Amino acid sequence: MVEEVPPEDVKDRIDNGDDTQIIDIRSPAQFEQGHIPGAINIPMAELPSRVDEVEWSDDVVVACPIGQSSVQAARLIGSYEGVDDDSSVSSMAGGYEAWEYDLETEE
Amino acid sequence: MSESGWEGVVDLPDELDDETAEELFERATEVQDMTGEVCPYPQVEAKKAIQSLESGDLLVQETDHVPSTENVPKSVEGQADANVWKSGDGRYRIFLRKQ
Repeated sequence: MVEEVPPEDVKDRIDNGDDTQIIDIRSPAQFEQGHIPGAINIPMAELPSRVDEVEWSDDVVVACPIGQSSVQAARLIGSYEGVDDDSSVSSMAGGYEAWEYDLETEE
Repeated sequence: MSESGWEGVVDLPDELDDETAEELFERATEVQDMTGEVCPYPQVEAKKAIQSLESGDLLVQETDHVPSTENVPKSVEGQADANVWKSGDGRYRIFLRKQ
């Protein structure tokens, strides 16, 4: 089962400087318009072929528009052999729709 | 596991055989082509369509995005019953019958 973490928890982890990797699976255009600070953009369609390119952290949170496809994306990442069994791969509940904090934009 | 793919990580609704799927497709009340579309557009369109349908009516969404086969039925849970048909070449039809 994929754990769903509320946006407040994701925000806390960023503020605390935790080693949390945020994977944004929206389109590059949406990502450019604004994303969670520090997020890495891997569009959903590219995820299966790019899952082995990424150096996965022990704490991964996947974010999507409304928090549904991020659940499958988290399952996909979690099932990848390059991700340790004791790593946490979770989905941000409610997705970007529920994210009320500041967004980072590309300079 | 060397090849990662969506099918292994998506909870597909019950699958239909080719014949049943074809028969149902011909009788569909509404067909939405969602090829190339990803979350949340297919969910939003499914919800809108289901609201305007009568009980027993059938909505079909065509998609090439496997996660939609789980997410679209979820978005109309309690309002419609879902089945899926796989073409075998990466396209899917999601059948939603309004309760």
